[in-house]
Amino acid sequence: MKKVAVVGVAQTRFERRIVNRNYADLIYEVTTGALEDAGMTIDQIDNVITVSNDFWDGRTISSMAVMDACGAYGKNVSTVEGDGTFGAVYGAMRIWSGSFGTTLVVAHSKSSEGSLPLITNAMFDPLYYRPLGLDAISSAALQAQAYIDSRGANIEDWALVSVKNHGNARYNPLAQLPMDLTIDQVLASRLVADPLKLLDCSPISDGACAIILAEEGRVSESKQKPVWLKGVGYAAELHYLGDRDLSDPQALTQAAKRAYNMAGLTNPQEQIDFFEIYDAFSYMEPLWLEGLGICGAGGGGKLIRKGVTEMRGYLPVNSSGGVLSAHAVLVAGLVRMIEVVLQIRGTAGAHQIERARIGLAHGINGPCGQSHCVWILGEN
Amino acid sequence: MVEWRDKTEPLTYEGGIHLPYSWTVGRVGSRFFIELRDNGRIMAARCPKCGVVWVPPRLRCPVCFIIIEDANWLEVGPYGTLQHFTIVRYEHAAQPMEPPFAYALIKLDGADRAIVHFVSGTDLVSIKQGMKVKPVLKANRKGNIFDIAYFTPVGGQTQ
Amino acid sequence: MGRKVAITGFGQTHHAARRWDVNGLELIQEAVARALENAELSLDDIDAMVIGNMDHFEGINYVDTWSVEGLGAFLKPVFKVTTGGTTGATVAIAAYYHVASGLFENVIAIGWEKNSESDTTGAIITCSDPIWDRFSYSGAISSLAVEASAYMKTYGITERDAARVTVRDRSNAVNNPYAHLRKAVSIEDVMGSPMLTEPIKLLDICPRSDGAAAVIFSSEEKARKICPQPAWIHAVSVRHDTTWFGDIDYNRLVSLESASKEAFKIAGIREPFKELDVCELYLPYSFAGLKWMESIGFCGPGEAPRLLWDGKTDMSGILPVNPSGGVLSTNCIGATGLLRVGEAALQIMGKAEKRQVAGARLALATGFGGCFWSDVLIIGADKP
Repeated sequence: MKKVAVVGVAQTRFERRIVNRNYADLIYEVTTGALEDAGMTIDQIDNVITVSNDFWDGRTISSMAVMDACGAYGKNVSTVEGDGTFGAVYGAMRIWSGSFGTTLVVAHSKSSEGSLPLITNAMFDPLYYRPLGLDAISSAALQAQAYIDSRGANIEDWALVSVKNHGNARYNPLAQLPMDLTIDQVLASRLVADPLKLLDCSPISDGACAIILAEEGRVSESKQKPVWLKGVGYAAELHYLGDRDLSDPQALTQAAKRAYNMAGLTNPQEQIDFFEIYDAFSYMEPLWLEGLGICGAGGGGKLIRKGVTEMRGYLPVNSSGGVLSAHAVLVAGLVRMIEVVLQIRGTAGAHQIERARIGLAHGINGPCGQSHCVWILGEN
Repeated sequence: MVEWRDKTEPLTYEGGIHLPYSWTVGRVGSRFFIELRDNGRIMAARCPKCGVVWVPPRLRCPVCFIIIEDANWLEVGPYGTLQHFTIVRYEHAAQPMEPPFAYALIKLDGADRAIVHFVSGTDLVSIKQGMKVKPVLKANRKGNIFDIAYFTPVGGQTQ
Repeated sequence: MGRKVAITGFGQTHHAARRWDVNGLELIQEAVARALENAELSLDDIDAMVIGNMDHFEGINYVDTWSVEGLGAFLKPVFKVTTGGTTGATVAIAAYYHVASGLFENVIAIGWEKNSESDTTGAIITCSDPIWDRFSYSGAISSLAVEASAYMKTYGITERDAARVTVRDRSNAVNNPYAHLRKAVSIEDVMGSPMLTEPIKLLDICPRSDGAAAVIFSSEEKARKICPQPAWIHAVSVRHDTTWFGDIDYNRLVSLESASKEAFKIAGIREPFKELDVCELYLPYSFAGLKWMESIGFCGPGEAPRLLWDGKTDMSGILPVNPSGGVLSTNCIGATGLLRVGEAALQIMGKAEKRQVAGARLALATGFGGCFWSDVLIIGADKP
């Protein structure tokens, strides 16, 4: 399989509400931003993948809103409805197929414009689950509780995640919620759905991002140092919460296995330098680390307590501030990929990690991380 | 950055999508709800290949994909074990109950997988993982998930 | 074009106005099970799934995760592609790229819709921009009526000319046991049907259906083992150019012209009308069966009625169009574009039963939807 790299990136600043720009404005901003970053023009883009969601946008065929803004005129274009990491998969497939040399992948969402509980309530099966009023937060709370009950996780470790990630966000000018927190402040924040407190939850954010992928023969068209796609894997569990063991992220383990395999990684804990994973809630960071096989079941909390996942730690996780600091749905996973790219390029600025040669980016889709996508990117 | 943009009043347009839906329950789901409505029984289906007892019953085993015949249907519960629960403390338009209220994953006796429902009829602080619960059925049932009003602790027993 | 990919299996549900017997997941299972049966494969042989439908028709968010049980996708890779009416075609194209990329060997593309569950027009109206277009966009039929009126005015096409398209497709559907509408109609039936939006009458427009389709795409190595005559993908092309209904040139279907040109070029087809053996065209209404033939390049502007009246596109003609009965006989939107691909593949595989076009070796399938967007696939019996 031919080598493909990320050669251009752009993200908007993430805000609670972007009042004077609509989806097309945001997509135009990141499309031109990624092109500028790469020093390329729209004519050098062979095809486009957009990422959007009809419910979040309040518009069936939500991709229609951005067709012109992403430069898709006269080009082959398609749309993935799911986290941006999955959009990147389709974008990469199109290059690996040999049909195209470059792909632009764009993602947007303005969670501020709709009702988060109603939109996420709609992701549940309409006959058995949705009528009960479940939504993203109450279902996550059930998973968090399962994590405590079945794997001995504890809320103090999760508070450390919140402190770390909001703290890291102070060094990321694009993050929405840079905060100087103490564990006590997190633990004292109001209970939203037991055991989750306000500061365990990610915010509502507006934003967009874009990446440009290019095959080996075309990377020289970009002025940026290429960051190579080394491996990818994705997988989904069953939908009904009751059919799943919410404390065991099997789909993530499966996805990671495929990604590690493809990247030729036999010992991910040693071989991966840093992680950008989808912490929509604080408990997810240790749970996903367990699912990724970075530690054993129930071992995530200890990693965090030991300081291993700090920016200057042995296994930095979410030095960008993570999803806890900025959560534009669908965009956030692709932002994880972009943050990995910036680290490997050495241009992450104030939140740059010292040793960043191979990074892992991760995105989720569906309730309680029902579907996962894992990317491995590297400097070679 | 064009200057006039920042000086222009940012307008918004309020609206919504108001679409009614009529979801088909299907023959299998209908049988489940009719049993619940007419006889107050909760049915499950066992996959003949992997042996897992699924609630609600399915036409095909979600893992093996083979069709589960009628002969493999069985009643489960009514008692169950509370596996994990949460107490919801915020409000939104799609909630049928007023917060604070509890959701739980409940494994009914005889089933291998859990269902999700409310836990009520008791002080929220008394809800414990592992406690034995039973469904409280509505007197006037319609053939939907609300025929079970909620689950409630069985006389203070825990496992 | 890259790695060679072929279609090796196709399954579809029995489409109907309302499938009371199955919920959405079970509808999807029916198509998946039939596709596996058709290819004599099991789920263990399938490496990934890709699914498409239009969200607001069933009101389910994150259909990729909701449908895992329906797809048999437990712990398998799955994501969703959604592009409006073109979804069925673009999900097929996505599956093609899944395999062409080398990541997967056998991939199932699934398209489905349970239009009975919602107010179709109410839902489709939400595809328009809420601030600028939604107040005036009154559904798919109206925008097509604008196109039809312009076409009639410019070339003197008549409603009877369009009716001839309906007569052809509906009569073909009699041979398709899966089609939703299986009764032939006459020109007089069409002309006498109630007017919906000038000049589109009830029998000029597609029905709304519940249905699902599943198509299996395989790598060259696997295709040879699975299928005696795989249906090879020769070309795929997509043009989803416009964003605003006011920007559309109603005198042409620019996206179809553009996509067709690209596809023919990739496939090395110089005289499409002569070289193709069969077409499954996404024609949501009768006038499209005239005007869009011209967009594809089968004849010059205004000349399509001649092709129809001479019987050239009938089953007995030189280039049969829509042996399956087409969209005018079945329209489960998320599946519809995929049905075109599946039916075209069936022709090449020689498994089209009573609707088989003898000796079909090169087929064209198209998709339509969104803001007058188009997709084109070329499928053939020879390895490209």
